[in-house]
Amino acid sequence: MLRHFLILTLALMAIGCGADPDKKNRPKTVKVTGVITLQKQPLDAATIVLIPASGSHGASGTSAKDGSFELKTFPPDSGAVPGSYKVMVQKIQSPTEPSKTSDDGELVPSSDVKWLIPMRYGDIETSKLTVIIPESGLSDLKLELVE
Amino acid sequence: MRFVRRSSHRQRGFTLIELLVVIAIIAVLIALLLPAVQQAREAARRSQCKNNLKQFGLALHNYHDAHKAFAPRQSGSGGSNTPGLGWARTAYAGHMYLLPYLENQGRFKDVMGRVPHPVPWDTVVFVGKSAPAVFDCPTDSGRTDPVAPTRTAGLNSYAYCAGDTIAYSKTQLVTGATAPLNTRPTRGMFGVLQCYGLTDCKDGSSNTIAMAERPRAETAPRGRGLVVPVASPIAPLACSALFNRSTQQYVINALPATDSAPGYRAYGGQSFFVAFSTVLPPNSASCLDASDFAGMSEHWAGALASAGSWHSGGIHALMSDGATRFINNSIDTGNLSAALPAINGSGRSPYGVWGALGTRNGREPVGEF
Repeated sequence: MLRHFLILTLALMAIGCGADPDKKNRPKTVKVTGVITLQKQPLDAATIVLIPASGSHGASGTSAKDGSFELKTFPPDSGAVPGSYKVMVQKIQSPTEPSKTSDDGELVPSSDVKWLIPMRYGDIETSKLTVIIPESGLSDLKLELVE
Repeated sequence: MRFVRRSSHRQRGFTLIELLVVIAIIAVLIALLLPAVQQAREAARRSQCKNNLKQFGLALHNYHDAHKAFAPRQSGSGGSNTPGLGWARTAYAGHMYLLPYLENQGRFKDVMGRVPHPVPWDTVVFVGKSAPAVFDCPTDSGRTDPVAPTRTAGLNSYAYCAGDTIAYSKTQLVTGATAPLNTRPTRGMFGVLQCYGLTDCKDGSSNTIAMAERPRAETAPRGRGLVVPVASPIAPLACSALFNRSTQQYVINALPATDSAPGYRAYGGQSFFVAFSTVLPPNSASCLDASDFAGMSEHWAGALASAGSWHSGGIHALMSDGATRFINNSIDTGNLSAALPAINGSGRSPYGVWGALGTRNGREPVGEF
């Protein structure tokens, strides 16, 4: 009896005092995971963005070292809303080289931002990638980019 | 003198076990109490933080009484050690112009008395010196810039609202040109070389955010508070994907690489330092327009920065009527797959309640928040 009571108390503590009111109006999402490759090689740290053909809930994710990614519509919660999407992919490198000093004392990086994948994938109009997410979700979404 | 021994045989003391039990009980009690003490301390810091924001609200309204408009986010008179660098003439943050209204006339006169007016990264006047305590939210624990420790030029935690789209900082596209400066309007209450007043606030001053918190970075190169570049035009979802909201860390190396980080240059007026946009929810990613770098320091690039704080659950915001409100991290942000509105565009915000609160002239009905 005491044990059940303890478990119940702990469960209630874990849930907290009530659901977040802003989360109530959110649409249902399904789990979407996949792999992204460039020239058949896994692509890491790429940003994948899904813009819905209709509707108002896009999704996005970033790829890990092995090219795997998971899409999120309401980060940090996982999952995307079923529907059809246009996809864009971006991978940019920050200017990290040593800075030089301008004549009034500001530090100016000696390089600018660089694209690490073909730029056409970064724009929704030119990327030509599309995805349909079924009601059951996706676990093997493949995005294959070429140079 | 006579000693009387009442217990005849042996003196009654504590056994080792009893002593250990008592110590264990005390330890458990302290363990229960410590988090409560820490929470009480955070609550105190938090109310101090909110009070600072309120002081900004009063200062803005006193400024409005005197000038018939709020202070600009970024503007400046002299502001350059090198005459002819037009863009540097617009470097001061609104914080500079609010100094006299925050009981810091002395600092203001000291800066204005110098010819030319020092740049915000001036090593004599600002670097290594502290800014007024009212700029600093005590919950922000960072004390020195994690990227460029020797360039810490005044701690700051508060930023100006640039509406529901990107906020630009450059007023000239060519470095060193002497051409006339351009304003950078916004859909919010603060722009560059541009002052908006209560008459510009068509959505109603109690429905429009003026200022909010932005967190000071504590770690580099991936810590929260820093900024990452994103392809232009910035897609809000591309920006948000680069930040892990569970760990509160960027997934790629963030900027700046060498110069001052946000929160460590109190009088720098660039959007990188003192603006936020009501697009991505509080405590998410902050991004820079990758096409806006062009050989200048990172912090001159247009920024889509999120408001944020080190409090749990959300941020404090200052409404244009001077009220301070707590905004939850999970506030409705509408359609984040929508493209960013033009900086001088009119019309409703696509970004839900959060976007509506940021615009001064979106004509959105705003419900409870």
